[in-house]
Amino acid sequence: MIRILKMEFRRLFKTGCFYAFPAVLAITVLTEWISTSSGEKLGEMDIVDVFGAVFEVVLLMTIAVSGVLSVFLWAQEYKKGYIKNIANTVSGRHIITVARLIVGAFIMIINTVFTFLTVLCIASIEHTGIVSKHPELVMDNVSQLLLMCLSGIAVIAFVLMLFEIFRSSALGYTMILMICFNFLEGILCNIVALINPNWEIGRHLLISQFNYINGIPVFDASGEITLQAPDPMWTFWLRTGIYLIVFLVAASIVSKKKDAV
Amino acid sequence: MEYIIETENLTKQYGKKKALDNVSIHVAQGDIYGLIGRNGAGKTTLMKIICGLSRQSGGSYSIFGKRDGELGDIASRRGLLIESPGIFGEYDALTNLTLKCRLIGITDKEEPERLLKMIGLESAGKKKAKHFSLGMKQRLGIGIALAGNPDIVVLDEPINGLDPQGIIEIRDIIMRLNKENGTTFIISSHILDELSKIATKYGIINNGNLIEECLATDLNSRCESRIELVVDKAAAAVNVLEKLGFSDMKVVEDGKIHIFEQFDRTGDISLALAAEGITVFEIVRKLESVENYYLRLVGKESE
Repeated sequence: MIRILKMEFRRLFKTGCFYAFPAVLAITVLTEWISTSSGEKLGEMDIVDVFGAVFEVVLLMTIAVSGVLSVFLWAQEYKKGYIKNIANTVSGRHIITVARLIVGAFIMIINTVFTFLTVLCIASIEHTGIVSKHPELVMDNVSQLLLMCLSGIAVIAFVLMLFEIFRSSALGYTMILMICFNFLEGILCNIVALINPNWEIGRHLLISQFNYINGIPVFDASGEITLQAPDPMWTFWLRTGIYLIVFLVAASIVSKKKDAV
Repeated sequence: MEYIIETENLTKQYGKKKALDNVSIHVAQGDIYGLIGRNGAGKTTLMKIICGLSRQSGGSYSIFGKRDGELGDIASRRGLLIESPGIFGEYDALTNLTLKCRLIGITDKEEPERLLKMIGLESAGKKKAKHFSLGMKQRLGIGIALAGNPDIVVLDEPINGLDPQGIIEIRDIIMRLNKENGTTFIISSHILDELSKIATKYGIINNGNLIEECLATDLNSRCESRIELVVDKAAAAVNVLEKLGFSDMKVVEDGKIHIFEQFDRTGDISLALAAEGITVFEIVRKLESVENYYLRLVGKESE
């Protein structure tokens, strides 16, 4: 496992695509700094609002970019035939699957960190300062960001499972984008709602669950939407962790059953 | 005898088609095992299973006495080049070799450079592998297979695309590693005459079945290689040949004798017969090639 990870990380750091996203973020910060350097700055910004801005970017862009890069790396091994060299050196194919997810998780974590730093830098550039007006909410926001990162890793695990089954990079890219832009989960919710309108599965899904993290919207008698108390945070963590483990185990089982080439 | 690689009734089925049907091969330490068979015979399928790239439908195999699924670290003592070389086109040769070294736990920077020199690609420099010629890619694939001095190397058509000098160089590498390190090779090739120069054992596969497995020395004797002798006195000639130590011979017709052993003693035969006053009209050494033997065998199998 360690040997495969060393090889995969070496390959990752030699892959130009890995640096594309951080490079774009860095250029974004640079251009923002140049454009606002002579302008007037806005007042102070609450760190909670910084997290709010990060959450949108992490969900849509960071998971998508991390997922696409992960699929690209896996697909290259099959396209170039290098999977033969890898599969030949391990006694169990599941080792390769776990190594792939670890690299995918690393990509997701790094990109999340870069995304947060980018938004923080831009906020610092645009505002006179970053303050903490609601310190009791900071840890909640950090926890939510980490949860989003874990959800992103679970999405990568889901796509890894599909990749092991179908060995199709096109399917992997499509699924990543459909999940990140909430198409796939939206379709699932609609299908379930057709079966029984009272069944609300959105709060149990990987990406949609974040719509319920501040409260569960319900319609009252007059048709107004009110927010009920959200599920405890640990339920989100547990749910996401279960998804991750299930997808990883399924991917490992499939990889053991299928031929490497 | 203990075998380093042994398969037991190995079967691989794709749908209704059996790519391998109860194949049992035995490869001893230090063998250069030549796998012979036509396209689609099952050679590559067998190699893939031994290298862990494919799962068998039935039967089992063992490497160093360990069954598949229990190989552990032994798995990394195999090197392979199957079908196309597995290389990353966006990296140069040295980087490709370095990645393979990392994969098998070798961090010594000299090892990739040693391999690069061994396969004759030092002059490739920073050229990306995707710009390599077919022969250069093949050399790189062989280098990757030989990384870390594996105990077992599986080569599927290793001389594809190589120039004559490259073929000789690869043959020399194989022979040297086999002699110096005791490396065991399993090699498939369509160029049987080239394979016959190095193989110590053969496995002949046809339609997924192992139709013959024998040592190279046994194959030579089965190849109906012979010395054809035409003399004026066949009976007297037989007596002379018996005194010279020949026993495996046959008088095929009046004056014509076929000798099936000691093919390098045509000089002794001529001198001995002349000394006894027997006229030798013709003495010809006919060595049937492995290729002809294989075609004859497969032809019989088809019947």
